[in-house]
Amino acid sequence: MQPTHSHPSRGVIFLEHCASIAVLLGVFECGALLSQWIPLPATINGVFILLGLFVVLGQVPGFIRRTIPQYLSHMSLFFVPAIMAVWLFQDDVITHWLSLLLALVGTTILSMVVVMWLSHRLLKSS
Amino acid sequence: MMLLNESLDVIRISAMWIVLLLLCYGVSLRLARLLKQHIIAHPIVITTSLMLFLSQFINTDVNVVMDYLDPVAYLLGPLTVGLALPVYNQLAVLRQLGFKVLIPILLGGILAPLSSYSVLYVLGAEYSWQMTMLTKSITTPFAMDTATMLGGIAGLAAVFVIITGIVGVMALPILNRVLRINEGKVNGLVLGTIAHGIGTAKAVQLSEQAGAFASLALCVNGITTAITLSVLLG
Repeated sequence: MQPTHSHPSRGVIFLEHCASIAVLLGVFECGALLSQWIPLPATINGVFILLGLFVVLGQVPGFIRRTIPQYLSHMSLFFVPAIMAVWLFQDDVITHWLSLLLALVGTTILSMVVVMWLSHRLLKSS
Repeated sequence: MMLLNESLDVIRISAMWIVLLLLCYGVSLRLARLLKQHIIAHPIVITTSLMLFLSQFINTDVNVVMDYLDPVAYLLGPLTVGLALPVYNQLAVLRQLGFKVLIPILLGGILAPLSSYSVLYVLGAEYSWQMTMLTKSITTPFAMDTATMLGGIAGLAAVFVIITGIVGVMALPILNRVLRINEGKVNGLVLGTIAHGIGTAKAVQLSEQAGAFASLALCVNGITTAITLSVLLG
């Protein structure tokens, strides 16, 4: 490995982040555009476009490989605005607490058990 | 001129809320490390609680705060697109495993929403709640659109999706212990299929392999749900 690759300067790191963010925004907007004809959400269309680009290139460009994992590790942050909506429905949630507990917690855990057991069995034999 | 001043004010207040959000997130990361990543100290739970507390403390409507945080909410979309990277990195493994991966994803993708819908149906919840519940295992932006399409409530769909995700993330280590199954691939499939984006975010933290399988499950689940719904609506 060349030393310039392991210790890129601050300027290079900044440019790499700008390039990666531009790619993500561009691909996401293309995905949104495609959603008008393909009945899939923009994010899923976007994942397929980017995946297709990587497959065509035969590799992931270095700047993307170095930056995207850093963003993905902080994905939780970006859910917060949507989750704050819990506050707006607190009366409804209190009224329906039992049905919600069963429907959200009970069935989620049940489905997780089924998927975990099944995938464990299927993948073990491979 | 007045219009310009008003827009500048909006940008200034929006920036202030985004800075507050980042500060709360920083605090929650510290707290999670202090509590050795205990499930109760999940950054999503702590950050959201702190932000709700702040909005009440400053006496601002939560709806208004959510509007100011719109730029952050928008960025979730482009960020989700970045999941193509872990999927690409595991493409060879995924190609080799094929249906062994697809079967659990498809089964989980059908079982999770149908079972919770059935619970609400049996307990006699309102029609709009039943329809909203159907969308609970899809990624947030899509769940909100689909809920509206089916006659559900968009805001509530986001809440269901998020609670499902948090329950999934919290239940995983417990199920790992109880079922004595703790493999990167399996954890990834479970989190991506049942706990969608929040689960995938957690899987990425667990390992590269878990992240890849979760991302794949998230994508496959999204596609099958879209197809199922178009059949239902068609």
